[in-house]
Amino acid sequence: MVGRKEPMLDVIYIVLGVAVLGVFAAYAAALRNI
Amino acid sequence: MNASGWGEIVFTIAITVALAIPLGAYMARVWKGESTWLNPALRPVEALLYRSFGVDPQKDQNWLAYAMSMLVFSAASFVVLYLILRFQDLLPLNPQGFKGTTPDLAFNTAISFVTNTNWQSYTPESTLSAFSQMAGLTSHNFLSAAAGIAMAAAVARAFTLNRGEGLGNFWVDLTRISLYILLPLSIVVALFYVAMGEPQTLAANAVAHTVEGGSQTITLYPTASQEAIKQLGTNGGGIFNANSAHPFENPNPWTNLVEIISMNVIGYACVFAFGRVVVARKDAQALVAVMALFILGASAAIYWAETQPAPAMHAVHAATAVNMEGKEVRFGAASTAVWTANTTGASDGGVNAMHDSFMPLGGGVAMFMIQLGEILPGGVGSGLYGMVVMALIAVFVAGLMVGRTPEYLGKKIEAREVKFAMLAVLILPLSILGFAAVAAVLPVALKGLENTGPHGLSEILYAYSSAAGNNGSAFAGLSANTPFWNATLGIAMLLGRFGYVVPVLAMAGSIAAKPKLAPSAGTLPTHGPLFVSLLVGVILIMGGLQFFPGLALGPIVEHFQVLQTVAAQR
Repeated sequence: MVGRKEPMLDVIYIVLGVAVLGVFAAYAAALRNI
Repeated sequence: MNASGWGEIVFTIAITVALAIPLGAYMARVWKGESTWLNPALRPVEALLYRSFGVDPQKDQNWLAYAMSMLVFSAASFVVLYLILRFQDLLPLNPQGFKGTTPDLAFNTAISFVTNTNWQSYTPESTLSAFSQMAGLTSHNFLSAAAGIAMAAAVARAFTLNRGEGLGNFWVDLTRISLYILLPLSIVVALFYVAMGEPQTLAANAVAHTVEGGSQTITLYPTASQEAIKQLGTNGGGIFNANSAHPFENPNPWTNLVEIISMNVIGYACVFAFGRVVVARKDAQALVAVMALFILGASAAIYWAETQPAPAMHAVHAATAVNMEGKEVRFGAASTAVWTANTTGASDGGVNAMHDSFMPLGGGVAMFMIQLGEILPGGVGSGLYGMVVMALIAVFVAGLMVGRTPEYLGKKIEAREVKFAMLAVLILPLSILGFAAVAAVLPVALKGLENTGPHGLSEILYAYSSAAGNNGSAFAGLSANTPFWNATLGIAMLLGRFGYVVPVLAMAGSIAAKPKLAPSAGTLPTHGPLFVSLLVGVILIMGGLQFFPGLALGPIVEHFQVLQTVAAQR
């Protein structure tokens, strides 16, 4: 199975995507102070 | 160039705008939660969905709650789609026995479809199962489009409030827009495509036996249903690698016309709906006029560029002056030009020709349309709120010139709103130029390029413009299915979508909290030719100032190289 040998990569990519969206959530909260 | 070509361009734009007027009236009713003729059939489904997901349809959200709901929804969509793509070999409807995609491709593709970009680093017909196409991609074609329209509805409501804060409910908007707008339209258009001969089947490949005794495997998919929402939702991701240049996706000039109309009609309709919700129809018409003027101008420029002699044609003294490389003979140059202007102005990204094969200025205009911010008429919903941002900047500039506090649709525009507007606008050059600059010097990125010199730079610049603009069309000539390109393009898509809309929602919250003012003698009219000219200027200057140096090093210098080559052949 292509790429299934490296489950850590799945964790890294999922965490990266969700983390970027989390940064936008923090950004939204910070914009209240402008 | 000929009269029928010009007539085709003008007719296509005019019919799209005309059809958007009644659709906009209908969409305004959906945004306002009013009854529609579909209520008897869909109201029970809507109520069932609210009950199932614990949504209180009466509960309004302020801008921050609305933004958080949208982000949570997008994060969940990303994870689900990532897992579908990685584990498609364990899921049903995989008659070709495709393996799961690589992690970096799943990352890129999941972000691509969640952000309504639909950039495709892969060849769909040799990579994805029918389940991945339907449950993974087509469902996100609906949901990402509905999310975009929902945010436009929230921005529209901000202008109706008098010292208020409730912008609506994201979950209600998502549900109502999917059920009452996107699904019915998609069913009608998909049936038309089936009647025109597009495949709609879950069967495995068909095998054709050639006259030479060989066999050819012909991939089949439920194409018509995906094609409908692909254009209506300004998604653009093809079920085949050749996208709408493939005869299964776009078999004839009738489907070609309907696809062009589909990719822009909801974008224009959002603006007409905005005019009805805010009770500012003339102001909305001014925004539509600006959008249509840009589409007309871009179509004309591409049509002109693609009917100039290409160097190779000139060298062999070919009789035709049309650059047909990368174009479909059944569509021709004029239809390709108006399609290209529409798909790049609309953040759709579906193509009926290969932009990499265009003359340098033809490809450059396509890239410039994306860089102008995908507001002409832009992605469904995102085009409207992007254009509202530009309108606020335009009235702010006008206010600076005459020394008055700018107003737009009864709301004073002050420093806070302009800060939010600029935060939104600046995310595109930051993302496009920043990533392109890094990719232009990194060996790991340059390995994916098939051209050097200005054309190679155009390929890099186009890729990040397409990703950050959530367009999704490819310039080709770039092998992007590598960990570097998949990861950086994925992050560019996230920045372009959420880095833009979060400050826009904050801006909407700020506008909602202001008192609604009656127009006075000092109010700049925002519906006449003066405002249209001002808005055109602001859009051009914003795009021109930010991206002109990049364009000068790419398509513009390549244009002069072509002129030099043609002159040397004389």
